[in-house]
Amino acid sequence: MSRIVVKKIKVDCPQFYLDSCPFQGITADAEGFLSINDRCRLCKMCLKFGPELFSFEEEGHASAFNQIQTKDIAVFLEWQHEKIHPVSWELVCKAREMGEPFQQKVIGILVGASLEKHMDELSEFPLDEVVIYDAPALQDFRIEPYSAAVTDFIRVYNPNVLLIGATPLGRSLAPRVAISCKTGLTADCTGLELLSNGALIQTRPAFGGNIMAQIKTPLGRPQMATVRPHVMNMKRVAHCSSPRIIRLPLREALQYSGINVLESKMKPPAQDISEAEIVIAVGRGVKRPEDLAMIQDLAQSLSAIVAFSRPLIEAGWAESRFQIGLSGRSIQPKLLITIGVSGAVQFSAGIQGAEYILAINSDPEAPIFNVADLGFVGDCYEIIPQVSDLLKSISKER
Amino acid sequence: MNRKNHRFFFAGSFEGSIEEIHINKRGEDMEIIVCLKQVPDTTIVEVDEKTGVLKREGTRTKMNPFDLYALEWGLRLKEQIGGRVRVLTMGPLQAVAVLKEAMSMGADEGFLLTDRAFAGADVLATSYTLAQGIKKMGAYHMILCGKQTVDGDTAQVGPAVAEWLKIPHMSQVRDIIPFNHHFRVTADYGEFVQICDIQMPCLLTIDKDSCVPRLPSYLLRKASQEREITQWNRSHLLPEGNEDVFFGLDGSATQVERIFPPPKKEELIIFRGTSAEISLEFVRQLQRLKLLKNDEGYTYE
Repeated sequence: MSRIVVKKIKVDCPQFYLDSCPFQGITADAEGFLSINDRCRLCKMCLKFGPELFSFEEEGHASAFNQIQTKDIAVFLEWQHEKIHPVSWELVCKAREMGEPFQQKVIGILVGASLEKHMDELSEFPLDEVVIYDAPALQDFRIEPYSAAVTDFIRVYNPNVLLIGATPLGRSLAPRVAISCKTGLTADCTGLELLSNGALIQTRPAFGGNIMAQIKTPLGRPQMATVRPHVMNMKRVAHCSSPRIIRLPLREALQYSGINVLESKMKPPAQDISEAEIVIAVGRGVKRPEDLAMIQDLAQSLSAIVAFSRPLIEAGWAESRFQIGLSGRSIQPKLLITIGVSGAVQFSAGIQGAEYILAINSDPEAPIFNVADLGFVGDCYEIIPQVSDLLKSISKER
Repeated sequence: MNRKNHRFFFAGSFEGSIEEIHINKRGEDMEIIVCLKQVPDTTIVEVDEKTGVLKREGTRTKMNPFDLYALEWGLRLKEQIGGRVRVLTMGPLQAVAVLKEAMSMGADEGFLLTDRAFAGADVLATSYTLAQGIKKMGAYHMILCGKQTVDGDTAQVGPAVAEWLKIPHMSQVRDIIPFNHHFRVTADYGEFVQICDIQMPCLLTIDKDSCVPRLPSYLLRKASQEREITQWNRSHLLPEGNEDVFFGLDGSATQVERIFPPPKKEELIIFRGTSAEISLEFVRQLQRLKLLKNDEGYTYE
């Protein structure tokens, strides 16, 4: 068993060492001798603070880890309800970018049923190969056959890296594949970097996002990571040739599942402001209820949901479930756009969970600018219609 | 232990139930295992800029809030159809506290997996250790876990345990209806919802807010003080034969290279200009945030 070993030396100021451990894993006795207790998580932080006292005694790792030579990067292409999830595109682009310097192939895995109609779409992916498991048993997501298909792919291809989107489906699938391959898995990576020796450096937030951790998978292959949607860049990477399509059969025995899907249906888009990804908050800077039309127009082109500050709810512009703030709801969107919201404390209390805040207000002194990430000082009646027009012209170009 | 003679017969209706409910008539007790984790009371951790030490407020701990929903579902099923709820955790000795808390809410027995050799475990080693513990606990119909923890936040350990045990699982479950030999389960996959029949035994990770967890009872709390907790260490959990073991740091596939403070939130930038300039910059920012979608739902730059 690997462990931290403490030298039997009396220390003058034990508190210094006790404080160095984030997990309260060090105990001092009355005479000033230190010892490691059962809260130790082997994070090795103490080695930095007392190299003269602490050392790490390593025992060999379990021999069961896959040590064979691996190459190439595989990406799980999530297919459900006749659609390939956009996060798959993002991951393929990231894989391409990481693998390019080392001539690593990027291979997609597509698991589903009646996938023939997606061949055109697939030909646009910057992939070298797509491996397809197509069987009626794979129509709905059921964990055993899906995980069997991906595990079968790994057995055949031995990829060095496997990326999976951190969607609810991906978060359910990835751990099962990792365990069946006896390899490591890092969830919700915000950064990925491939080194020349093939090691994947995985960066992710830890302890509720206040700390970042860099994680490696020295043992076990493939090195598996999940990434949330919208984290990686989606570039239309130039890739001249269409991917080679390879169909692999899923053995009958692997198609078995203890789950019988009775019903699987798409959810209507979020009508709950606390669940929405993009929220547009409207405040008193918008004068008349009729003016909401231009805001609804913008909301539509952004797939956003419109919410309100308290005065507008009290004036009866919308139901109270659309109110943001202390007496309304707290929201956690990826993007919050505030239009004509002054940003009173009561309002700001409800938007602390927003990842990014864009504020438009005509008053440069408005308190909303203290909490926003980016502020625009101007007249929303002029800006919003122009933004909508710009967005429409962009979507036409595509 | 004091086990009532639970028979699986049932009168009345479940919350949100459907017409036809066949409850187990085998006269066999439903065995439910709920996995719990003790987490720090605060997730607000700061890194000391100078020393690089994690500064954490106090040493208080609590039960992972997501686990409360799993426990509540376990207790409800027990009340509806009979059986018992056993709770399991891995951690230092002080983690007994979450088992006692679960008992004061109605859990029947507690199991603590504790050993210095379990420290430093990643997903692979944590799920292996829990699965070894579950195997030792004997037969079960259902394992319930919270959908994720607040400190690790990976949502991976539940499904990983199911893989070690070779049983089916479903994640983010919002509703469970028991039948004779299976459960009817509603799972929320974000963009879509599945209603499935899942065989026994199985593992379910329970979605947040899918029920209202009960409060601990004073009487049960008092009674739980004297109840014994089963403690197992590494030697108890070793597999039979020469199988490989994956305990603690040595059984982990991943390694934390370093920890560092996240990049600081950028200072506020105020943009001024003509409304045309502002509109253009606004759209540029939307593109930079990768939140524009085209007709197929893809984001692009």
